[in-house]
Amino acid sequence: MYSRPRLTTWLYLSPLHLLLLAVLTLPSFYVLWLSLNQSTYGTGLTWVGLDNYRTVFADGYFWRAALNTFFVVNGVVYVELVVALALAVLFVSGVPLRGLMFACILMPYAISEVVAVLVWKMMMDPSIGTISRTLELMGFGLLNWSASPTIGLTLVGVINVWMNLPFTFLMIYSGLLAIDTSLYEAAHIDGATRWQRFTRITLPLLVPTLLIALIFRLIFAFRMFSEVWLLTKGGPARMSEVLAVYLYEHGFRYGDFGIAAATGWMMVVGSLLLASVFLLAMQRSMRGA
Amino acid sequence: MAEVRLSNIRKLYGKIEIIPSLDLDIDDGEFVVLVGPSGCGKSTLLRMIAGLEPINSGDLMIAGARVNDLSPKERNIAMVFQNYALYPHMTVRENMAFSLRLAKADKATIDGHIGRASEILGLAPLLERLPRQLSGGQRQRVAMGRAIVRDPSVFLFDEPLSNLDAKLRVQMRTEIRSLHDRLKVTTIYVTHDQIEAMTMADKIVVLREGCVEQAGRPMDLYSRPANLFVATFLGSPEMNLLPATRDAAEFDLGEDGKLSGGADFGETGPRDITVGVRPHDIMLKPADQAKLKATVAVVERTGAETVVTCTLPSGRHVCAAMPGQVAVNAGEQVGLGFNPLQLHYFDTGSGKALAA
Repeated sequence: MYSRPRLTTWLYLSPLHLLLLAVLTLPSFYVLWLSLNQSTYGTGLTWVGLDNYRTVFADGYFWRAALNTFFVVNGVVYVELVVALALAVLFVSGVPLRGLMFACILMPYAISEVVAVLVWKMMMDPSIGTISRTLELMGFGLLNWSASPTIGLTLVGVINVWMNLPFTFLMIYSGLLAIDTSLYEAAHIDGATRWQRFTRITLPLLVPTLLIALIFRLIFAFRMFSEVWLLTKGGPARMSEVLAVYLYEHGFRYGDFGIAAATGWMMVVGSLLLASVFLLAMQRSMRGA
Repeated sequence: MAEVRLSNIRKLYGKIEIIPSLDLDIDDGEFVVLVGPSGCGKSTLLRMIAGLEPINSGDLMIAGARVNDLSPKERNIAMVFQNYALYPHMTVRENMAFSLRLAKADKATIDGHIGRASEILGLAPLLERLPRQLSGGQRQRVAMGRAIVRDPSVFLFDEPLSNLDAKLRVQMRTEIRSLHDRLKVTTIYVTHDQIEAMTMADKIVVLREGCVEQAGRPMDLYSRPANLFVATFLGSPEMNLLPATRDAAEFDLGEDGKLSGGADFGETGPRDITVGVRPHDIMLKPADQAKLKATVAVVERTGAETVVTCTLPSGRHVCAAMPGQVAVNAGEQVGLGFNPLQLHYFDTGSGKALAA
């Protein structure tokens, strides 16, 4: 039953709200304020209105970074979703040495992001890397990811999927476990093949889980930084920059806080726009529930 | 419609033998209830008939054909699950149409089948609802509807009433039975509830540890149980058992007294005998008018019936159930009277019933 919240209700909730206010709301409004001013190390703020946004919009590197982010994020999130779904289905139907396999899948989550990227970087080194040498010997040619932005960003995507697969896998795996096995038995008796059971029972019942995993991963992936920074530093010629790298460069290399802050806000809006499709879909499915 | 024959059916889970070797014949159109305590293998047996569990050895015949290796669909059975297993994302109509759609039936056929099933079960107003918008009883009915539309040759029910409240359970019991009387489809029904078994079945099969203890018509099992297990499993309150030593036609109950008459097992019969008496066959008498005397421990009145638990001098409890409201109170001394012809006798050693 719904009853109007009382003063005590608000008091009980207030520590959480104060914490959120301190670490989330105030900083984001401060960044908004920063984005409307010009400033750098050691100077005060000078009000410039929307000039920073105009500058960012007019900057070809920003659009390049935005486009890179868009492609990498979309590629990463959907590939990861499919791989995680396949793995989760495999695990639910039973794999040998389950505990060991589980540990293997979860391992990337236990490794520091920076260490993981550096290990990948070494293994992919065109001249001495184990993986790149093997690929070359297998006839795939030399994968010079430091010279080609496309190959560089593809590698970024692969590493990002590898690092975040445990998250998506666990979400989907738990979603699968929550589906009542008697539904599959009923469908089996009703004459559904394995594939029909997957498409008509598993997938529809897994939609809420998939949507939540997608929303989380879209937002995570949008902030992608360390993979790109440690692998290519956005090069060659800023061709493989993503938005977080663009922001970092302007904020901490060029010391232009206004531009960095404006970029930050654009990223928030961008990721919300990307996620909004799925947020809407989820809201609709929840209303039906 | 079809008869179901199980011969030498064996089931192992790893190295654990669940069903050692089971034979069972179920006639066409018969309503058979598999009943037994939990872990007796009744649900496993049903799932083996359904095709959800592989059979290790033996033959399962439906309508004369061996179906061991056929898929559930090919066996032409329909099953109602304990938790109904309705597809939560489909409406009642879609739930019922699911099997027909998979079989690529045309729309007119599907509508015809659903129309007939919903008419039988009164589901017409609920067709566009989702399972979560239904009450327990309605879900139960939809689960049956989903089974009916397939026009199966055998219906399988796996404890279908155990998730319902007591009142609804009684109502659905009647509905399932009358549905069977109307459709006359061979039905195999699993339950642990002996009242369900007694009230619904044409034939009860009592299982224990994967073996058939006794199979037969409910009243035959009730009045002539084959052994102590069946005797105590069927009937509520359960049968009272009094271990006795036999001396010719007299049964010595030790300090509780002696019983005589009713049965004579001659010189060769066993000496250690357990005498069984159903609570409903006991009459309370004034203490000085009966051979067995006891003290009333607990009196339970349901209105229609009075159930009295008495303590014999040996400390053994005996339960008596009498119709109506009987004026008796805890602590009173009473005599226990019964018709010797209604006593049951079992060999204490083997547990088997002895013909009186």
